Amino acid sequence: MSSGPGEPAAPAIVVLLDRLAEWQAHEGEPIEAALGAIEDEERSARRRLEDAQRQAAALASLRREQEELRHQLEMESLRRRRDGVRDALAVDRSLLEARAGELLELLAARDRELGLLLAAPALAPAVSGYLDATDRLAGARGTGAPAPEDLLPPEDRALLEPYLRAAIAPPPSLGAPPAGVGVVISTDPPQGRPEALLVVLPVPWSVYAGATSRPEDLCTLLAYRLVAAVHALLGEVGAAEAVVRFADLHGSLALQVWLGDTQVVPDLRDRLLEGVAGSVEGAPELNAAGIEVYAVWLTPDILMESGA
Amino acid sequence: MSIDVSVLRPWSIVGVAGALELHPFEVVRLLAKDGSLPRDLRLRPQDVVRIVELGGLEVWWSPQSVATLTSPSLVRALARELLVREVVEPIWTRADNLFRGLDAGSEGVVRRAVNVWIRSGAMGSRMSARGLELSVRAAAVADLRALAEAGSGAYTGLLEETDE
Repeated sequence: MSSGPGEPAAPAIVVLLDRLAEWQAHEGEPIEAALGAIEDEERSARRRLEDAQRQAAALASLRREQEELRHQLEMESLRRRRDGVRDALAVDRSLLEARAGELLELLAARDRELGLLLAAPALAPAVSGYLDATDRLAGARGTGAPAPEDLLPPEDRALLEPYLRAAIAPPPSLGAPPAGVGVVISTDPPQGRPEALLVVLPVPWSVYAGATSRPEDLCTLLAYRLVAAVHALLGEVGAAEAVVRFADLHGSLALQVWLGDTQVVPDLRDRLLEGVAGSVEGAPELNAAGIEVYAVWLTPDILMESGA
Repeated sequence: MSIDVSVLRPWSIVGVAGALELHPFEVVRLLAKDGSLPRDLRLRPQDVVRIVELGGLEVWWSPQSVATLTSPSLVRALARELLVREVVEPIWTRADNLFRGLDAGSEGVVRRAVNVWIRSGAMGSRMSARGLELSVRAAAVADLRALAEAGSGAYTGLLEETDE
Protein backbone atom coordinates (compact mmCIF):
# COMPACT_ATOMS: atom_id res chain seq x y z
CA MET A 1 0.00 0.00 0.00
CA SER A 2 1.54 3.37 -1.08
CA SER A 3 0.86 6.79 0.47
CA GLY A 4 -0.87 9.55 -1.46
CA PRO A 5 0.48 13.13 -1.68
CA GLY A 6 0.41 14.72 1.70
CA GLU A 7 -0.30 11.52 3.36
CA PRO A 8 2.19 10.23 5.83
CA ALA A 9 4.19 7.30 4.63
CA ALA A 10 2.84 4.01 5.90
CA PRO A 11 4.88 2.18 8.38
CA ALA A 12 7.29 -0.24 6.81
CA ILE A 13 5.64 -3.22 8.40
CA VAL A 14 2.32 -2.32 6.85
CA VAL A 15 3.96 -1.87 3.47
CA LEU A 16 5.65 -5.22 3.83
CA LEU A 17 2.45 -6.99 4.74
CA ASP A 18 0.59 -5.32 1.92
CA ARG A 19 3.22 -6.44 -0.55
CA LEU A 20 3.19 -9.96 0.83
CA ALA A 21 -0.57 -10.07 0.55
CA GLU A 22 -0.40 -8.91 -3.05
CA TRP A 23 2.31 -11.47 -3.79
CA GLN A 24 0.34 -14.30 -2.21
CA ALA A 25 -2.80 -13.29 -4.05
CA HIS A 26 -0.90 -13.21 -7.30
CA GLU A 27 0.79 -16.54 -6.72
CA GLY A 28 -2.36 -18.19 -5.39
CA GLU A 29 -4.57 -17.14 -8.25
CA PRO A 30 -3.61 -19.96 -10.64
CA ILE A 31 -3.65 -22.47 -7.78
CA GLU A 32 -7.16 -21.48 -6.81
CA ALA A 33 -8.12 -21.63 -10.44
CA ALA A 34 -6.62 -25.10 -10.71
CA LEU A 35 -8.36 -26.27 -7.52
CA GLY A 36 -11.62 -24.96 -8.84
CA ALA A 37 -11.10 -26.84 -12.07
CA ILE A 38 -10.20 -30.01 -10.17
CA GLU A 39 -13.30 -29.72 -8.04
CA ASP A 40 -15.33 -29.35 -11.21
CA GLU A 41 -13.64 -32.43 -12.63
CA GLU A 42 -14.18 -34.34 -9.39
CA ARG A 43 -17.85 -33.50 -9.40
CA SER A 44 -18.01 -34.56 -13.02
CA ALA A 45 -16.11 -37.76 -12.29
CA ARG A 46 -18.35 -38.54 -9.36
CA ARG A 47 -21.37 -38.08 -11.56
CA ARG A 48 -19.85 -40.36 -14.18
CA LEU A 49 -18.96 -42.88 -11.46
CA GLU A 50 -22.49 -42.80 -10.12
CA ASP A 51 -23.78 -43.25 -13.65
CA ALA A 52 -21.36 -46.15 -14.18
CA GLN A 53 -22.39 -47.71 -10.85
CA ARG A 54 -26.03 -47.42 -11.80
CA GLN A 55 -25.19 -48.96 -15.17
CA ALA A 56 -23.16 -51.73 -13.51
CA ALA A 57 -26.05 -52.48 -11.17
CA ALA A 58 -28.41 -52.59 -14.11
CA LEU A 59 -26.01 -54.87 -16.00
CA ALA A 60 -25.64 -57.11 -12.95
CA SER A 61 -29.38 -57.42 -12.81
CA LEU A 62 -29.51 -58.21 -16.50
CA ARG A 63 -26.70 -60.74 -16.01
CA ARG A 64 -28.61 -62.45 -13.22
CA GLU A 65 -31.70 -62.62 -15.41
CA GLN A 66 -29.73 -64.11 -18.29
CA GLU A 67 -27.89 -66.53 -16.00
CA GLU A 68 -31.21 -67.67 -14.60
CA LEU A 69 -32.48 -68.14 -18.14
CA ARG A 70 -29.33 -70.06 -19.01
CA HIS A 71 -29.77 -72.24 -15.91
CA GLN A 72 -33.39 -72.85 -16.83
CA LEU A 73 -32.31 -73.75 -20.35
CA GLU A 74 -29.71 -76.17 -19.01
CA MET A 75 -32.26 -77.75 -16.68
CA GLU A 76 -34.79 -77.99 -19.48
CA SER A 77 -32.15 -79.48 -21.75
CA LEU A 78 -31.22 -82.00 -19.04
CA ARG A 79 -34.87 -82.82 -18.46
CA ARG A 80 -35.44 -83.31 -22.18
CA ARG A 81 -32.32 -85.47 -22.44
CA ARG A 82 -33.46 -87.57 -19.47
CA ASP A 83 -36.91 -87.93 -21.00
CA GLY A 84 -35.33 -88.72 -24.33
CA VAL A 85 -33.08 -91.39 -22.85
CA ARG A 86 -36.03 -92.87 -20.94
CA ASP A 87 -38.12 -92.91 -24.12
CA ALA A 88 -35.26 -94.35 -26.16
CA LEU A 89 -34.72 -97.12 -23.61
CA ALA A 90 -38.42 -97.95 -23.79
CA VAL A 91 -38.31 -97.99 -27.59
CA ASP A 92 -35.31 -100.35 -27.57
CA ARG A 93 -36.97 -102.60 -24.99
CA SER A 94 -40.15 -102.80 -27.03
CA LEU A 95 -38.25 -103.58 -30.20
CA LEU A 96 -36.25 -106.33 -28.52
CA GLU A 97 -39.29 -107.82 -26.82
CA ALA A 98 -41.22 -107.84 -30.07
CA ARG A 99 -38.44 -109.56 -31.96
CA ALA A 100 -37.81 -111.90 -29.02
CA GLY A 101 -41.41 -113.04 -29.25
CA GLU A 102 -41.20 -113.54 -33.01
CA LEU A 103 -37.97 -115.48 -32.67
CA LEU A 104 -39.44 -117.73 -29.97
CA GLU A 105 -42.35 -118.54 -32.27
CA LEU A 106 -40.00 -119.34 -35.12
CA LEU A 107 -37.86 -121.56 -32.92
CA ALA A 108 -40.94 -123.32 -31.53
CA ALA A 109 -42.11 -124.05 -35.07
CA ARG A 110 -38.71 -125.41 -36.00
CA ASP A 111 -38.68 -127.56 -32.87
CA ARG A 112 -42.12 -128.92 -33.71
CA GLU A 113 -40.93 -129.96 -37.15
CA LEU A 114 -37.83 -131.53 -35.70
CA GLY A 115 -39.91 -133.26 -33.03
CA LEU A 116 -42.11 -134.82 -35.69
CA LEU A 117 -39.07 -136.04 -37.60
CA LEU A 118 -37.69 -137.57 -34.43
CA ALA A 119 -40.93 -139.43 -33.89
CA ALA A 120 -40.24 -141.56 -36.96
CA PRO A 121 -40.36 -145.30 -36.06
CA ALA A 122 -36.87 -145.85 -37.41
CA LEU A 123 -35.48 -143.50 -34.81
CA ALA A 124 -37.53 -144.85 -31.92
CA PRO A 125 -34.82 -147.04 -30.30
CA ALA A 126 -32.22 -144.28 -30.48
CA VAL A 127 -34.62 -141.65 -29.18
CA SER A 128 -35.79 -143.95 -26.42
CA GLY A 129 -32.18 -144.62 -25.42
CA TYR A 130 -31.47 -140.92 -25.39
CA LEU A 131 -34.49 -140.13 -23.23
CA ASP A 132 -33.55 -142.93 -20.83
CA ALA A 133 -30.05 -141.50 -20.56
CA THR A 134 -31.51 -138.08 -19.92
CA ASP A 135 -33.67 -139.46 -17.12
CA ARG A 136 -30.71 -141.28 -15.60
CA LEU A 137 -28.69 -138.06 -15.62
CA ALA A 138 -31.46 -135.94 -14.18
CA GLY A 139 -30.32 -134.34 -10.96
CA ALA A 140 -26.69 -135.11 -11.74
CA ARG A 141 -25.86 -131.59 -12.87
CA GLY A 142 -22.82 -130.27 -11.13
CA THR A 143 -21.32 -133.69 -10.66
CA GLY A 144 -19.46 -133.85 -13.96
CA ALA A 145 -21.93 -136.31 -15.43
CA PRO A 146 -21.59 -136.88 -19.19
CA ALA A 147 -24.00 -135.54 -21.78
CA PRO A 148 -26.84 -137.98 -22.60
CA GLU A 149 -25.53 -138.66 -26.12
CA ASP A 150 -22.26 -139.86 -24.60
CA LEU A 151 -24.17 -142.76 -23.02
CA LEU A 152 -25.66 -143.96 -26.31
CA PRO A 153 -24.32 -146.88 -28.35
CA PRO A 154 -22.27 -145.52 -31.29
CA GLU A 155 -24.84 -146.54 -33.88
CA ASP A 156 -27.69 -144.78 -32.06
CA ARG A 157 -25.54 -141.75 -31.54
CA ALA A 158 -24.69 -141.64 -35.25
CA LEU A 159 -28.37 -141.95 -36.07
CA LEU A 160 -29.28 -139.05 -33.83
CA GLU A 161 -26.30 -136.87 -34.72
CA PRO A 162 -28.03 -134.87 -37.50
CA TYR A 163 -30.96 -134.15 -35.19
CA LEU A 164 -28.69 -133.16 -32.32
CA ARG A 165 -26.93 -130.75 -34.68
CA ALA A 166 -30.26 -129.43 -35.95
CA ALA A 167 -31.45 -128.85 -32.40
CA ILE A 168 -28.54 -126.52 -31.67
CA ALA A 169 -28.38 -124.90 -35.09
CA PRO A 170 -28.38 -121.09 -35.07
CA PRO A 171 -31.88 -119.67 -35.01
CA PRO A 172 -33.47 -118.99 -38.38
CA SER A 173 -33.53 -115.39 -39.55
CA LEU A 174 -36.64 -113.36 -38.87
CA GLY A 175 -36.05 -111.46 -42.08
CA ALA A 176 -36.66 -108.27 -40.14
CA PRO A 177 -34.94 -105.04 -41.17
CA PRO A 178 -31.74 -104.34 -39.22
CA ALA A 179 -32.35 -102.23 -36.16
CA GLY A 180 -30.05 -100.85 -33.51
CA VAL A 181 -30.47 -100.87 -29.76
CA GLY A 182 -28.31 -98.98 -27.28
CA VAL A 183 -26.43 -100.08 -24.20
CA VAL A 184 -25.92 -97.00 -22.07
CA ILE A 185 -22.73 -96.74 -20.06
CA SER A 186 -21.89 -94.11 -17.50
CA THR A 187 -19.11 -93.56 -15.01
CA ASP A 188 -19.03 -91.28 -12.02
CA PRO A 189 -17.10 -89.04 -12.06
CA PRO A 190 -17.31 -88.74 -15.84
CA GLN A 191 -13.59 -88.01 -16.14
CA GLY A 192 -10.62 -89.60 -14.41
CA ARG A 193 -10.63 -92.64 -12.15
CA PRO A 194 -14.23 -93.88 -11.90
CA GLU A 195 -15.79 -94.55 -8.50
CA ALA A 196 -19.02 -95.96 -9.85
CA LEU A 197 -20.13 -97.63 -13.04
CA LEU A 198 -23.66 -97.80 -14.40
CA VAL A 199 -24.63 -99.92 -17.39
CA VAL A 200 -28.22 -99.83 -18.62
CA LEU A 201 -29.24 -102.72 -20.84
CA PRO A 202 -31.97 -102.41 -23.49
CA VAL A 203 -33.92 -105.24 -21.88
CA PRO A 204 -36.78 -105.18 -19.36
CA TRP A 205 -36.09 -105.40 -15.63
CA SER A 206 -38.06 -108.65 -15.57
CA VAL A 207 -35.11 -110.34 -17.29
CA TYR A 208 -33.45 -110.20 -13.87
CA ALA A 209 -36.39 -110.05 -11.49
CA GLY A 210 -38.36 -112.80 -13.21
CA ALA A 211 -35.44 -114.80 -14.54
CA THR A 212 -36.88 -118.15 -13.57
CA SER A 213 -40.42 -117.49 -14.70
CA ARG A 214 -39.92 -116.03 -18.17
CA PRO A 215 -38.57 -117.70 -21.31
CA GLU A 216 -34.85 -117.53 -21.90
CA ASP A 217 -35.40 -115.37 -24.97
CA LEU A 218 -33.52 -112.85 -27.07
CA CYS A 219 -33.64 -110.26 -24.25
CA THR A 220 -32.29 -112.76 -21.74
CA LEU A 221 -29.50 -113.95 -24.00
CA LEU A 222 -28.45 -110.37 -24.74
CA ALA A 223 -28.43 -109.65 -21.02
CA TYR A 224 -26.25 -112.73 -20.42
CA ARG A 225 -23.74 -111.51 -22.99
CA LEU A 226 -23.62 -107.98 -21.61
CA VAL A 227 -23.48 -109.05 -17.96
CA ALA A 228 -20.63 -111.38 -18.90
CA ALA A 229 -18.84 -108.50 -20.64
CA VAL A 230 -19.09 -106.34 -17.53
CA HIS A 231 -17.80 -109.10 -15.24
CA ALA A 232 -15.01 -110.00 -17.63
CA LEU A 233 -13.90 -106.40 -17.75
CA LEU A 234 -14.08 -106.02 -13.97
CA GLY A 235 -11.80 -109.04 -13.73
CA GLU A 236 -9.37 -107.57 -16.25
CA VAL A 237 -9.08 -104.26 -14.41
CA GLY A 238 -8.58 -105.80 -10.99
CA ALA A 239 -12.11 -105.27 -9.73
CA ALA A 240 -13.35 -108.87 -9.85
CA GLU A 241 -14.46 -108.59 -6.22
CA ALA A 242 -16.56 -105.49 -6.84
CA VAL A 243 -20.21 -106.08 -5.97
CA VAL A 244 -22.52 -105.76 -8.97
CA ARG A 245 -26.06 -104.76 -8.10
CA PHE A 246 -28.97 -105.13 -10.47
CA ALA A 247 -31.55 -102.37 -10.52
CA ASP A 248 -34.70 -101.26 -12.31
CA LEU A 249 -33.92 -98.01 -14.13
CA HIS A 250 -37.00 -96.65 -15.91
CA GLY A 251 -38.12 -100.22 -16.55
CA SER A 252 -34.76 -101.32 -17.94
CA LEU A 253 -32.27 -103.64 -16.33
CA ALA A 254 -29.26 -101.72 -15.02
CA LEU A 255 -26.00 -102.86 -13.46
CA GLN A 256 -24.54 -100.68 -10.74
CA VAL A 257 -20.97 -101.25 -9.62
CA TRP A 258 -19.26 -99.41 -6.78
CA LEU A 259 -15.58 -99.10 -7.67
CA GLY A 260 -14.47 -96.79 -4.91
CA ASP A 261 -12.73 -99.60 -3.05
CA THR A 262 -10.72 -100.69 -6.07
CA GLN A 263 -7.92 -99.19 -8.13
CA VAL A 264 -9.67 -99.19 -11.46
CA VAL A 265 -7.92 -97.80 -14.51
CA PRO A 266 -9.18 -94.45 -15.78
CA ASP A 267 -9.86 -95.83 -19.28
CA LEU A 268 -12.59 -98.15 -18.01
CA ARG A 269 -15.14 -96.36 -20.18
CA ASP A 270 -13.30 -97.00 -23.44
CA ARG A 271 -12.56 -100.60 -22.49
CA LEU A 272 -16.17 -101.21 -21.63
CA LEU A 273 -17.35 -99.69 -24.90
CA GLU A 274 -15.02 -102.12 -26.67
CA GLY A 275 -16.05 -105.01 -24.41
CA VAL A 276 -19.73 -104.55 -25.16
CA ALA A 277 -19.05 -104.55 -28.89
CA GLY A 278 -16.96 -107.71 -28.58
CA SER A 279 -19.52 -109.53 -26.44
CA VAL A 280 -22.29 -109.32 -29.01
CA GLU A 281 -20.17 -109.77 -32.13
CA GLY A 282 -21.45 -112.69 -34.17
CA ALA A 283 -24.16 -113.62 -31.64
CA PRO A 284 -26.44 -115.91 -33.69
CA GLU A 285 -29.68 -114.90 -31.99
CA LEU A 286 -28.99 -111.20 -32.58
CA ASN A 287 -28.09 -111.87 -36.20
CA ALA A 288 -31.29 -113.84 -36.65
CA ALA A 289 -33.34 -111.03 -35.15
CA GLY A 290 -31.56 -108.31 -37.16
CA ILE A 291 -30.45 -106.57 -33.99
CA GLU A 292 -27.30 -104.48 -33.81
CA VAL A 293 -26.08 -103.38 -30.41
CA TYR A 294 -24.43 -100.01 -29.91
CA ALA A 295 -22.70 -98.85 -26.75
CA VAL A 296 -23.37 -95.23 -25.84
CA TRP A 297 -21.65 -93.27 -23.11
CA LEU A 298 -23.59 -90.63 -21.18
CA THR A 299 -22.79 -88.48 -18.18
CA PRO A 300 -24.43 -89.82 -15.02
CA ASP A 301 -26.66 -86.77 -14.50
CA ILE A 302 -28.62 -87.73 -17.61
CA LEU A 303 -29.37 -91.17 -16.24
CA MET A 304 -29.98 -90.41 -12.59
CA GLU A 305 -32.10 -87.79 -10.91
CA SER A 306 -30.17 -85.74 -8.36
CA GLY A 307 -30.04 -87.69 -5.14
CA ALA A 308 -31.51 -90.76 -6.80
CA MET B 1 -46.55 -138.04 -31.67
CA SER B 2 -43.78 -135.49 -31.29
CA ILE B 3 -40.58 -135.48 -29.27
CA ASP B 4 -39.63 -132.56 -27.02
CA VAL B 5 -36.56 -131.35 -28.86
CA SER B 6 -35.30 -129.30 -25.94
CA VAL B 7 -33.86 -132.46 -24.38
CA LEU B 8 -31.46 -132.74 -27.32
CA ARG B 9 -29.74 -129.47 -26.52
CA PRO B 10 -26.98 -128.74 -24.06
CA TRP B 11 -28.39 -127.18 -20.94
CA SER B 12 -29.68 -123.65 -20.84
CA ILE B 13 -28.19 -121.24 -18.33
CA VAL B 14 -31.50 -120.83 -16.57
CA GLY B 15 -31.88 -124.61 -16.35
CA VAL B 16 -28.47 -125.10 -14.80
CA ALA B 17 -29.03 -122.16 -12.49
CA GLY B 18 -32.26 -123.73 -11.31
CA ALA B 19 -30.59 -127.07 -10.68
CA LEU B 20 -27.80 -125.39 -8.71
CA GLU B 21 -30.21 -123.04 -6.91
CA LEU B 22 -28.42 -119.95 -8.25
CA HIS B 23 -29.62 -116.89 -10.12
CA PRO B 24 -28.82 -117.27 -13.83
CA PHE B 25 -26.70 -114.11 -13.71
CA GLU B 26 -24.55 -115.71 -11.01
CA VAL B 27 -23.88 -118.59 -13.41
CA VAL B 28 -22.92 -116.01 -16.05
CA ARG B 29 -20.69 -114.16 -13.58
CA LEU B 30 -18.82 -117.30 -12.56
CA LEU B 31 -18.11 -118.43 -16.13
CA ALA B 32 -17.35 -114.91 -17.38
CA LYS B 33 -14.85 -114.52 -14.56
CA ASP B 34 -12.40 -116.88 -16.25
CA GLY B 35 -13.61 -116.39 -19.81
CA SER B 36 -15.28 -119.80 -20.07
CA LEU B 37 -18.84 -118.74 -20.86
CA PRO B 38 -19.65 -120.65 -24.09
CA ARG B 39 -20.39 -118.39 -27.04
CA ASP B 40 -23.62 -120.27 -27.71
CA LEU B 41 -24.71 -119.74 -24.09
CA ARG B 42 -25.40 -123.46 -23.75
CA LEU B 43 -23.75 -125.39 -20.94
CA ARG B 44 -22.09 -128.77 -21.03
CA PRO B 45 -21.19 -130.98 -18.06
CA GLN B 46 -17.68 -129.52 -17.85
CA ASP B 47 -19.16 -126.01 -17.60
CA VAL B 48 -21.28 -127.09 -14.68
CA VAL B 49 -18.29 -128.59 -12.90
CA ARG B 50 -16.49 -125.29 -13.46
CA ILE B 51 -19.40 -123.31 -12.01
CA VAL B 52 -19.38 -125.45 -8.88
CA GLU B 53 -15.62 -125.05 -8.49
CA LEU B 54 -15.47 -121.34 -9.21
CA GLY B 55 -18.45 -120.53 -7.07
CA GLY B 56 -17.45 -122.65 -4.10
CA LEU B 57 -20.90 -124.25 -4.26
CA GLU B 58 -21.63 -126.87 -1.65
CA VAL B 59 -24.67 -129.05 -1.08
CA TRP B 60 -25.19 -129.50 2.64
CA TRP B 61 -28.59 -131.15 2.48
CA SER B 62 -30.43 -133.74 0.47
CA PRO B 63 -34.14 -134.50 0.55
CA GLN B 64 -33.29 -137.79 2.27
CA SER B 65 -31.13 -136.19 4.96
CA VAL B 66 -33.74 -133.57 5.77
CA ALA B 67 -36.84 -135.74 5.52
CA THR B 68 -36.46 -137.26 8.95
CA LEU B 69 -35.38 -134.10 10.76
CA THR B 70 -37.69 -132.11 12.98
CA SER B 71 -37.13 -128.36 13.08
CA PRO B 72 -35.00 -128.49 16.28
CA SER B 73 -33.00 -131.37 14.81
CA LEU B 74 -32.45 -129.36 11.66
CA VAL B 75 -31.14 -126.39 13.65
CA ARG B 76 -28.75 -128.68 15.54
CA ALA B 77 -27.70 -130.29 12.27
CA LEU B 78 -27.06 -126.84 10.82
CA ALA B 79 -24.83 -125.93 13.77
CA ARG B 80 -23.00 -129.22 13.30
CA GLU B 81 -22.50 -128.61 9.56
CA LEU B 82 -21.10 -125.16 10.20
CA LEU B 83 -18.55 -126.55 12.65
CA VAL B 84 -17.67 -129.67 10.66
CA ARG B 85 -17.14 -127.54 7.56
CA GLU B 86 -15.12 -125.11 9.70
CA VAL B 87 -17.10 -122.08 8.61
CA VAL B 88 -15.52 -120.10 11.41
CA GLU B 89 -13.78 -116.75 10.93
CA PRO B 90 -11.70 -116.14 8.88
CA ILE B 91 -13.36 -118.80 6.73
CA TRP B 92 -16.54 -117.56 5.02
CA THR B 93 -19.10 -119.44 2.96
CA ARG B 94 -21.77 -118.38 0.53
CA ALA B 95 -25.07 -117.95 2.35
CA ASP B 96 -26.85 -120.01 -0.29
CA ASN B 97 -24.69 -123.02 0.63
CA LEU B 98 -26.65 -123.21 3.87
CA PHE B 99 -29.94 -123.51 2.03
CA ARG B 100 -29.10 -125.56 -1.07
CA GLY B 101 -31.10 -128.77 -1.15
CA LEU B 102 -33.73 -127.67 1.36
CA ASP B 103 -37.44 -127.46 0.70
CA ALA B 104 -39.22 -124.19 1.45
CA GLY B 105 -40.26 -125.17 4.98
CA SER B 106 -36.79 -126.34 6.01
CA GLU B 107 -35.24 -123.29 4.39
CA GLY B 108 -37.44 -121.13 6.61
CA VAL B 109 -36.15 -122.92 9.72
CA VAL B 110 -32.53 -122.48 8.68
CA ARG B 111 -33.07 -118.86 7.67
CA ARG B 112 -34.61 -118.10 11.05
CA ALA B 113 -31.69 -119.67 12.94
CA VAL B 114 -29.17 -117.77 10.82
CA ASN B 115 -30.99 -114.50 11.47
CA VAL B 116 -30.91 -115.15 15.22
CA TRP B 117 -27.19 -115.89 15.13
CA ILE B 118 -26.46 -112.79 13.06
CA ARG B 119 -28.51 -110.57 15.36
CA SER B 120 -26.85 -112.02 18.45
CA GLY B 121 -23.37 -111.61 17.00
CA ALA B 122 -22.68 -115.35 16.84
CA MET B 123 -22.43 -115.13 13.09
CA GLY B 124 -20.93 -112.49 10.83
CA SER B 125 -22.31 -111.53 7.44
CA ARG B 126 -20.82 -109.58 4.57
CA MET B 127 -21.61 -108.75 0.96
CA SER B 128 -19.16 -109.85 -1.70
CA ALA B 129 -19.13 -110.37 -5.43
CA ARG B 130 -20.58 -113.83 -4.67
CA GLY B 131 -23.48 -112.32 -2.76
CA LEU B 132 -24.09 -112.67 0.97
CA GLU B 133 -21.43 -114.63 2.87
CA LEU B 134 -21.56 -115.95 6.42
CA SER B 135 -19.09 -117.06 9.06
CA VAL B 136 -19.39 -118.17 12.67
CA ARG B 137 -17.61 -115.87 15.13
CA ALA B 138 -14.82 -117.62 17.02
CA ALA B 139 -16.40 -116.62 20.32
CA ALA B 140 -19.61 -118.42 19.43
CA VAL B 141 -18.06 -121.78 18.55
CA ALA B 142 -18.60 -123.23 22.02
CA ASP B 143 -22.25 -122.24 22.03
CA LEU B 144 -22.85 -123.74 18.60
CA ARG B 145 -20.99 -126.91 19.59
CA ALA B 146 -23.16 -127.23 22.71
CA LEU B 147 -26.24 -126.76 20.58
CA ALA B 148 -25.09 -129.30 17.98
CA GLU B 149 -23.89 -131.96 20.40
CA ALA B 150 -26.23 -131.67 23.35
CA GLY B 151 -28.99 -129.29 22.39
CA SER B 152 -27.81 -127.04 25.20
CA GLY B 153 -26.10 -123.70 25.63
CA ALA B 154 -27.02 -120.17 24.70
CA TYR B 155 -29.25 -121.09 21.79
CA THR B 156 -31.58 -123.69 23.28
CA GLY B 157 -34.33 -121.08 23.01
CA LEU B 158 -33.95 -121.37 19.28
CA LEU B 159 -34.83 -125.05 19.52
CA GLU B 160 -37.93 -124.33 21.54
CA GLU B 161 -39.08 -121.62 19.17
CA THR B 162 -38.55 -123.77 16.10
CA ASP B 163 -40.36 -126.63 17.77
CA GLU B 164 -43.62 -124.70 17.66
